[in-house]
Order: sequence, then structure tokens, then C-alpha cells
Amino acid sequence: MVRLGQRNVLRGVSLALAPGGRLAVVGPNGAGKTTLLRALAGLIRPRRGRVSLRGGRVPDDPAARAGLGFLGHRPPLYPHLSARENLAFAARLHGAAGPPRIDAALETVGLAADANRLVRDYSRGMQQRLGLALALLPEPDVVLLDEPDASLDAAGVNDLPMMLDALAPRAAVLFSTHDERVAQALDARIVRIEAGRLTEDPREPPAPHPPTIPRQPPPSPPSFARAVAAMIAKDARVEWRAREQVPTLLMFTLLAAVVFDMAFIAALGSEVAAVAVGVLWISVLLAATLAGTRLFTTEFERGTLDGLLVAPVDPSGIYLAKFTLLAIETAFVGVAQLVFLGLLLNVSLFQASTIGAVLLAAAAISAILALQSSLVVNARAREMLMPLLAIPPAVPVLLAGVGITLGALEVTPAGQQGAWFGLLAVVAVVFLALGTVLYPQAARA
Amino acid sequence: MNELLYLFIGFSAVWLGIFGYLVYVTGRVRSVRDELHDLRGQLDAPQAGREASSH
Amino acid sequence: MRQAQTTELPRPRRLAALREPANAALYAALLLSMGLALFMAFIFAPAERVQAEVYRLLFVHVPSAWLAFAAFGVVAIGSVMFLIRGKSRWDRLAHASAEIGVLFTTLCLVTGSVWGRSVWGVWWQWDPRLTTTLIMWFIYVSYLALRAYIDDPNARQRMASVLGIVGVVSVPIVWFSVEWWRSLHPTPSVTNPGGGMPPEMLSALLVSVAAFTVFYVVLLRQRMQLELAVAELGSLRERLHERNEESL
Repeated sequence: MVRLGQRNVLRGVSLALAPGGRLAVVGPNGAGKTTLLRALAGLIRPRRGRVSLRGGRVPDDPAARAGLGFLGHRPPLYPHLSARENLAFAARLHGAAGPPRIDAALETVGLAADANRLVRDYSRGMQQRLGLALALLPEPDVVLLDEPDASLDAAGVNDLPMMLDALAPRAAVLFSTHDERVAQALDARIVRIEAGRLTEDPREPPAPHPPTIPRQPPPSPPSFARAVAAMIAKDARVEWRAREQVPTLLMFTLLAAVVFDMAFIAALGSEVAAVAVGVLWISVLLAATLAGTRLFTTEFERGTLDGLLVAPVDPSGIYLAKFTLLAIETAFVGVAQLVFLGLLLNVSLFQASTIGAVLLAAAAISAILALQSSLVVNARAREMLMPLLAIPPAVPVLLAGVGITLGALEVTPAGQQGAWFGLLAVVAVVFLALGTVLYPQAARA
Repeated sequence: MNELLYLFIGFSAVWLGIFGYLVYVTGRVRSVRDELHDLRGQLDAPQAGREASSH
Repeated sequence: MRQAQTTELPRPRRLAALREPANAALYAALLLSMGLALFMAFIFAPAERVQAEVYRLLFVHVPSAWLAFAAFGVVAIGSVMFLIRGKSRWDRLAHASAEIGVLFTTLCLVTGSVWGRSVWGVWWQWDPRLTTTLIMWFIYVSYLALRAYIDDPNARQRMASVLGIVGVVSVPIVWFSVEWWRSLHPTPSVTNPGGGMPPEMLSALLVSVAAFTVFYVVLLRQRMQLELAVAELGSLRERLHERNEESL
């Protein structure tokens, strides 16, 4: 049983599918097709019952997702990467084979000529073709397609059987459609779904594809570290192309330095070092909050979060990748702010201990923010909510940063710096542990 | 004398807070249950009756 | 097909009948413990050497702090159990307890502030315990805000459970803040044998804590019933909506 909101969307659904079999789920809008496919892909937790692939339970066992190809309503594509880069990223996440397979996939879906164009410039139909290539790339043995004919032109719909035969010849394919002709074109058994119930026994065996096809071994999933590295590299590349975060953050921190200095200008005299320290840490915290809000929400809004969650990688890897990205950005901005403020206020902020404090504090703040950001993906007004969620637990980081920097500037005696560094390390470690354990719980509603 | 005033303020804040909250929650439970009762009536009513009462 | 859409709700009438005497007993206990606590606080416990009468704020200040800690502990337990078992009941427990915990924390801050005005001459001090308590208050206010901002019930329950577990980290920080940093607050004097409190004061304090625990239980039950009724209302509305759509 799958419950969405207050209603039970699926009830008593039971399906089994052999290798090589094709099954079309046909039904009107709102019948539960999408819910069924998302539950099978492990993107939704059923309230009761289980989804197993190769004996592993789908939502919690990453290995069960090895060899799973999924295409939802929106292809999980990064607009600032080219088609080839999108496919290469998916290949690294799924542990799929390298460039020859990517070339074959591009050729099959008819995008070889446009492989190096950014997906941003693709039409909706081209995106759908690329989405199919993405889903079929890891030579899946189970393929789930949610209305694969949607937004394809007539030629594209005609090519669908060829694409499946070429890229996933031995896979069990389950797809939804509201057009029975598509089901017939693909030689699929038809199961009707209405108001969350299957109205025809799907276990009847008029299988058009003989079930004698040997089961192929699933591709072995990538190591956890490799998957995390792939995600970090992808984010870095997207940031390099889109320049959405770092330049704006730099301007934000510089602006914060200027307005805070102006606000405190009357106090600037003997207190200049204290003002510089306060401005430094408040502006770094605010900049990190600004960037942290977007960590998960951009992936969620583009539909690419589904792509990451379907990959055979433990979701804690997604948290760690996002944490790393934010920590690097925050550290960069913080060090830049040391320079800005040093120049503007003529204070010698650029010292080994302050740089160390900025780096460690960046890690601690990012560990907090990456987790909080994952909690607000489907909240209303999340930009408003994030500061409220993120700043209270970050207060110890602020205090420790201020303590270390004041010591470095000899405003206060420097003896307590060790304890403050210890506090930063404790916050970073505690929140990294909490995030690694708890993010997988928040990843799937 | 002044300190008795602070004592009074402190204690009344606590009692007002707790009982105010209790009264608020109890009132909400009552109004939600009333609404539930109405909706159940609508659901159990025959087709025609429901259309008359729903908007 | 429609008649099969029973929700998990309509509860057996028997339970409702059982609830009434239990409620009556709880309310009787509430009034009794409240009267006893007031008697102990104002008449039984002697005046204090230095602070004379105003120290009696202790008998509401300390219990509200302890019950706030307990309430946030219950939030964490409910959250963990929800993530393990997936039953909405646990999430309702966590939500109700968080709201009551915020209420008790607020009362603790208010009584502390009034007390501080009388003894220290200021409404607020940047004392470690005050500061950490304020941050804890913010954390649980943000927990309630997160719940209010997520519309999808499944997502709301899961996200809130994660935050309910993260938030409980603040409780030991508030508790130990007086030992870790120099504070105007005393270090624990109840758990500490021979710690300076006369036996009459101690017993008055313990009775107050007991009374506050009864309040907590009464409030929690009432709040969880509200939660249940609201959930039921949501599913009934959904069913009515579906039916109206079908009959179009």
C-alpha cells in the first residue's frame, strides 16, 4: 500500500516480472501509475508491502538498485552539462561501462550529432531521448519508464522499441502510458490501473518474450568513495559553467563587510579589531546559509535528485558530496573575507590561526547546513525557513570563531584558542555523523 | 514589597501560560471534532443530500 | 471500489468510553497536585536567607526547565521510533511534545527573566545557561516552523523526525553549560548530595516537579487527540473531494 498525502494511492498491488518481459501499465491520469513506478524505483516508501529487486529491498538496500534503469516524468538532466557529460556522470554513479557504451547510447537515441551541446539548449523531445539513454546506459536488467512516449514526436515513439532492443535487450521493462498503441508497439502485456488498483491479473503468462533468456549479472556498483567523488566533480563542473554561487557569494560578503563597517563606523576607534571580528563571522555565516539553502533545492527543482537517489549508492554519499562542496565554497569566501576586512579596516586578520579557524568553521557550518538544507527541499518558502533552521545550531561555531580571532588579534588573551578549536572540531564531527546517519532517512519520503 | 510583585508576575505568567494553552488546545479539539461530525454526515448522506450540502 | 477506502481511523467506541474516566482522573490529579504544589511553595517552604520571598520562583522556574528537557527527550524518542516503525502515532507524539516543550521553555525563560530583574537588576544576562536555553528554544521553534511549512504529510513526518533527533543535542549542552562555563546559575544542587538546599525546599521542589509532570501528561494527551482529529479531518476531506469528483 502506498499512501500519498491523506489518500491511499495504491492498494493491494502485486507484480512480478521475468527477465526479458515487458509490461505496460495503462490507466487514466491520477490512477496511480507514477506512484507505482516511483515506489518500484525506491523513491517513495510504501506504508505496507515490499518492493524487491534481485531479493534486495528497494528503498534501503543500495545494491538492489544496481542495474535499475529509471526514467520519471522529468529526465534527471543537468542543464549546464552537455549530453555526453550527463551520461558520463550517470555512468560513474552506476558503475556502468565507459565511453564506447556512451557513444552507442547517444547513437541509438539519435543524439550523436548533438552530444557536446549543453542540455540547456535541448528541446523537450531531445531531453526525453537523452533521458532514455540515461536510464538504459548502465545495461539495466530492470527498466522502469514513466510515460516514455511523453513529449516524444511520432518518430521518437516509433523508435522506442528499437532503443529498448538495442540498449537493454534482456531487461525486464515496466512502463506506464495512457496510449495503448504504445504498449502494442512494444509488444508488452497490458495491465490496467484504476484508482490505485490493478484490474487484471498481471501474473497470467502470455509473455511475448520467452522467459528463457538468461539473466544477466547486474553491473557492479561503484565504490562509495568513487561515487562521492563523481558527485563533487559534477557539482564543481556545474558551478564552473553556471557561476551561480561563488561570484555572488563573494560580492555578498564584500557587501556585508562594507555595510557592517559603515554601521559600526562610529564605534571604530579602539574597538576596530572587535568590530572586524564580529563582521567577519556574521558575514561568513550568512553567506554559507545563502549558499546552503540551494544545495539540495536546485537538485530537487531540476528533478536531478531522483537521478542521484536511483543510483546504487548509499544516500549518505549525496550528503557528503554536498557537504564537501559547501565547505569548499565557504572556506574560499571566508579566506577572501579575511583579506577584504584586513584591507578595509587595516587589521592584520590574515594569520595562520585565523585561516585555520575559517577552514574548520567552514567544515562545521557546512555539516550543519547540508543536513538542514536536505530537510527543506519540499517546504514552502524554504529561503525564509533556512536561516531559522540553520543559524541556531551554528551559534557555537560563531562563538568559537570569534574567540579564536579575538585571541589572534590580541584583544583577549590568546590562551583559550585550543578549547575553541576543539569546539569547532566537535561540532563538525557531531554534525557530519548526524548527517551521514540521518540524511538517508530524509531522502525518501 | 517590590519582590512580591516579581513573584506574582512570575507565577501568574506560568499559570496563565499553561492554562491558556490547555484551553486553546481543548477548544481546537472541540471545533475539529464538530467539523469531523459534519463531514461524516455529508459522507454518509445519500447522493442527492450530499450535493445539496456540499459547495 | 469506494467502500474499500477505509482510512486507518474511525476508532472503536469502546476506547472513547474508556477515555472519559481516565480523563476525569487526570484532571483530578491535576487540581490536587497543583494545590499541593502551591501550598508547598508558599507556606511549607521557609523564606530564604538572602533572597527572602522571591526565591520561590524556583518552584516554577526549575520544574518548567526540567519538563522542557523531558519533553524534548520525548520528541527525540518519538522521532527515532517513527523512523524505525513508520507509524504516524510516534510522529504525533513528537509533534505534541515539541509544542509543549517550547511552551515550558518559554515559561522558564520568562520566570528566569523576572527573577533576574529582581535579583540581578536586569531582565537579561548573557549567561551561558540563558544563552544556551534561548538557542534551544530557537531550535524547537524552527522544528515547529519546518512542520508548518511542509504540505506533504509523508515528507513532513520524515523531515521533522530528523530535526527532532538533531535538536536534542541542545539539551545536554544547556544542562552542562553551568559546569563548562562560568555561570550565574548554580551547579546542580539536587543531584549533588549535601548540596545547599534545606530539606523543606527540596521536598517543595520535588512536589512542584511532580505537579508539572501531571500538567505535561494532560497537555500531551490533549494535544495528541487534536493531532489525531486533524489527521482524520484531512483524510475525510480527501474522501469527500474524491467522491464529489467521481459524481461529476
